[in-house]
Amino acid sequence: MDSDIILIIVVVTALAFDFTNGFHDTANVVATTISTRAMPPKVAVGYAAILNFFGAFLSLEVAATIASGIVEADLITPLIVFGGLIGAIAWNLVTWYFGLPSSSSHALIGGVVGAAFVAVGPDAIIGEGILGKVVVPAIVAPLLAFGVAGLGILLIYRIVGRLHPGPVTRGFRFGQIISGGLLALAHGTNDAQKTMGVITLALIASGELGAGAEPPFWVVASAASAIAFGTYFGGWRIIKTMGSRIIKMDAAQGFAAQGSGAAVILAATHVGFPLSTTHTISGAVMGAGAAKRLSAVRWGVAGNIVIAWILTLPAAAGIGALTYGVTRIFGTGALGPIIVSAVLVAAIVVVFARRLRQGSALTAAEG
Amino acid sequence: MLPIAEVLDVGDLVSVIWTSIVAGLAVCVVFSLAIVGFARATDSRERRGVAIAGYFAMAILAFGAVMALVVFGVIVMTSK
Repeated sequence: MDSDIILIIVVVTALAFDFTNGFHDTANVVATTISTRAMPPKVAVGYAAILNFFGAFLSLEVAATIASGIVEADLITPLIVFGGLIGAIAWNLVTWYFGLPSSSSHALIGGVVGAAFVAVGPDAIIGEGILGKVVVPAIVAPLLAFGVAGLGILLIYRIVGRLHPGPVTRGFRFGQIISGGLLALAHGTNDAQKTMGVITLALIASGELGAGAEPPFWVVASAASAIAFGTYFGGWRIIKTMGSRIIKMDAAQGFAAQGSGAAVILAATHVGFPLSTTHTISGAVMGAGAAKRLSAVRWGVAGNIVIAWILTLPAAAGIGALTYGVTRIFGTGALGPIIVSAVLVAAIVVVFARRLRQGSALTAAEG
Repeated sequence: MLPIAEVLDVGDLVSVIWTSIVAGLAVCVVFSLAIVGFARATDSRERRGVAIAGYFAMAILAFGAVMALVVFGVIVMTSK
């Protein structure tokens, strides 16, 4: 009975993480599209949500499940997964509160690493995995996207520089609809699979599915729906940061950022190199701005974003570890996860109510 | 201190870097050429029929190339 309740809690928590993933990462896809007026805000998030939903069905290769190669997979229990998910959700909400784009994948990895460390000890953590799959890609992604987008916008200005601005702006706004759509599809394909992997892992661990089983259709459909719903809900605070607080961009810069970002993400996907969508697009936005004029980039905002990236893994690990520790106070049954979930839901309600009282947290006007 | 080659595949990293640079710049250049083609072809000051046809052909070819890149991107997503 207890194991069934824990399974249900893990599934619901995984879908909640998927929602925050979509909600948090909407900005990657729509921020530049909205800020250059290529699409109205509500239309842009609706478009991104639909493509995220379909993207989730494009590929079902969930062999590389949660934190694979970073923690010892055979030591993972549903309670560790639960701790990791809570760590990731909490960090996603903290960074949303401050309007900072950070990697949901790194938050999930951090949460699981922290919970596994407390549950099993340092032997559960594969240091080389953290370095090779998290730290190095976190340095490579923004720098590479920065460089490609910077070179891209310089070439664009050289090619279209003598044309009337009207057709150029209209052309690049149209281009942003295409590049933004590709980014939304890629995001749905990559990120919804993490949730499918988590739920499938929990189903296998509880004996509901056999080892190596494919995710059932309800898992795929619910993960696709959760990420699409989260995307449609829209993390407007992060959209504002990505779309206008880093740089004030024109349509050509928006296209260069999105097109270069999509190229980097798909090149990495093709090779199987794990790059974060958030790090890539943020780097591309900064590159497209800095290439036009270094002072166009608000480096203070950029610095805050980089600090959030550096803190993501340890902060989510800390919350994941704390969650696991608190959960175990109540034993290995369902009571611990129930209490932790109730506390988290109450905290979320308080935070959202506070933001709503301040009057601008969840409105399209901020975009 | 671990050597970098022990924690990640340097070949993959190099491959990602050069593929990203080529693909990213190709997208920017080709889409810009499509805009130049459409803008020149529809420019009311352009009177020469051959030039208009040439710009229009350039625009169509460039836009087709961009769409081909998009389709390739979707294939990459589905085949990983």
